Amino acid sequence: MTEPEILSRVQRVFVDLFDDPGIVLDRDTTAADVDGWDSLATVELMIELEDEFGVRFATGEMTQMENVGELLDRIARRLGSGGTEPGA
Amino acid sequence: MSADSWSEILDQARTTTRAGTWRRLTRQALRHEAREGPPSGLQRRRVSLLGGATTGILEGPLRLALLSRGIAPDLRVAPYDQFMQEMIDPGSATSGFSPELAIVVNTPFNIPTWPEPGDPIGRALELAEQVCRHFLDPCELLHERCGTEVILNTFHPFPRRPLGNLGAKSADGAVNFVRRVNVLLGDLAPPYVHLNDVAWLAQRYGLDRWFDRRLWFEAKQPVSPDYVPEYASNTAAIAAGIFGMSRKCLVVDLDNTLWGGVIGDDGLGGIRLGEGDPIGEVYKEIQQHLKALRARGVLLAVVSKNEEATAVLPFEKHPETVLRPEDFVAFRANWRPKSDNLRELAAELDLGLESFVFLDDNPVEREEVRQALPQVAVPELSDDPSDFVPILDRAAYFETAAVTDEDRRRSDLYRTRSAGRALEARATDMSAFLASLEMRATISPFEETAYRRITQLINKTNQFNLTTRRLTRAEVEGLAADPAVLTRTVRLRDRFGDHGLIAVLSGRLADDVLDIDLWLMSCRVLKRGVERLLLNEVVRAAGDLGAREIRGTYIPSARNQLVRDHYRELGFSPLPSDDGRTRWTVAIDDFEPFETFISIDSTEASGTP
Repeated sequence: MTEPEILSRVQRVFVDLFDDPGIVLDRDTTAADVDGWDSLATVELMIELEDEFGVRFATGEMTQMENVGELLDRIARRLGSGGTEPGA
Repeated sequence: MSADSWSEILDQARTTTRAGTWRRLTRQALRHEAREGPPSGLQRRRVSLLGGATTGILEGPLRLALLSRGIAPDLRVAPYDQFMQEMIDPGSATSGFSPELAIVVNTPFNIPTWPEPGDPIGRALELAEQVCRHFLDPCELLHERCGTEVILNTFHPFPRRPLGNLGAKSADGAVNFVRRVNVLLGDLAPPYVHLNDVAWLAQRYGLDRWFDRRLWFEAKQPVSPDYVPEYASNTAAIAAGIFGMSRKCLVVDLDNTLWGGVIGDDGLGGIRLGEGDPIGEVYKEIQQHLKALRARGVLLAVVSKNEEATAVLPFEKHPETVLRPEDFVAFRANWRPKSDNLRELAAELDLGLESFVFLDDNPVEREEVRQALPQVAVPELSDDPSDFVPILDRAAYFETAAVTDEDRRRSDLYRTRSAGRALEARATDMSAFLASLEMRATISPFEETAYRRITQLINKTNQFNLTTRRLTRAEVEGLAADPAVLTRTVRLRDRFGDHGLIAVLSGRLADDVLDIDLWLMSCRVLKRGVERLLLNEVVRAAGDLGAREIRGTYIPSARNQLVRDHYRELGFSPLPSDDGRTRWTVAIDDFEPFETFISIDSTEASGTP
């Protein structure tokens, strides 16, 4: 899966979760840029993204991510390495 | 999948168990409520959600689950891990809110004290009681202050085993201590404390699936996202029980629901019920489960398409029956739509339709009831009867806060009350229902590939069988090959699936009269208009062959009263007859084709008889 493909699916998850069709994500987007992205939403995002991509994040991984770019990299790495093992 | 109205959202919430779908519905419900307000006609209740775990992730699903059970909650969520303070302190926000219901969510990690290594069993018991008091005392204070009913959960198993299997016999180990606390909680809980039995749920699905360790460490989630819907639904079912909204009467079908097979066709010796046969054992368990439901106050009633004398036979005479005729508060065996029977039952028992659950193995009957009576709960069953009990169990229709002596006697009470009460029949919109089935038929003469099925149907059908003529396969082939004989079969499909070949007819043409001496149909497709469709086709085909009159015969047997008036209902006139048979006729020129709700996929070989 290419990065633009991952980004577009991530964006769809965000739009649905935050009920905001106007959300446009790029690599630099952070929690502060999205209305309603608090700690509860982070957990909900994690659940939805795991469902969407069939991957499994490690404990603490999701809460430590700096921005959407890092999220895309981590999803790509997990998709590449068969999903469930923590990345390098 | 989108749902735009409350009824769609709540229907989906009641039927789906997929966590992803449930989360989507939860979001839809929140948006819908923000726009339209809560659904109308529900009980409004003040509900507090508290816990020693994070409850945020439960809030939306819990709201949805309560709505789908008929409760519109004014839901307040207390801050994380503040349940003690909130319940004890008269000045707390929770006390000020004065909830009618408090839902308290905890995990084993909220247990404050544990046995030390080497503690004897006496000490473990003492500590377990302290732990129970730790959770029950705040409930008592809140209840005394505000009259609040409290739902507390039992604890899921302790997720580590430092003692290994020795933990199962060690009073000082955490695994056994959690078990002990769970049992003692049940023993000590006062009437206003209701237990959400998470210990049982976690074991049903498996602890590794129920409890997501990552989400516990990350965000103190008490239950894995996949089982949040189960947690919420189970909690809402308890709430419904507390507020008197549980269902009260379980209405059951008989054939292939309470025993394997069809009593009218297979007879007492042919149905499957009891030990020594896997299917028989499954049905015995179903009957045992119903018997246990009756003992706790659930009313049982029968609505079955059968002759009453035949239908009651297994309960009177079958050596392995668990249920007896007197276990049912009402017994309705007839051929009318099941929704009509349910409606009359409700009047007879003086219960609202929302008190009923309807259990039937046949998807078409389930759909008929769902369409005509949306208030009645109709669980979707699988095609494996061993799933029936767990499905019924999971739906938690009959939650109650306690079982009283009156509950145990309720069945007898109702049996007396309903006796002799006048009934009133009402027609439901049958045409709309039949149209909704999207039935499609294929009508053909006897074909070689179907000889086996035709022969089988001829020899096992007892109820919808006009002449009960039994034929060998060779005789069936003989009819098919005879140019003076008109043969037809019907295959039926509908949106629930393919019923296969379900009707067989044969008639002999002599001069200008077609005499039907074989007409039988599977009871599965009764009252669907198949007989009308088939007659339309027979009249057409006979006319093409030069016939001007159709005749039919009914030969009564012990089991075919069902079709006694078959020809009369199809517009035939009686002819003189003797020896108990009835003979019928209709002139082709006078015949007006019937309207049916079945489209014909193909009518083959119309040129040949």
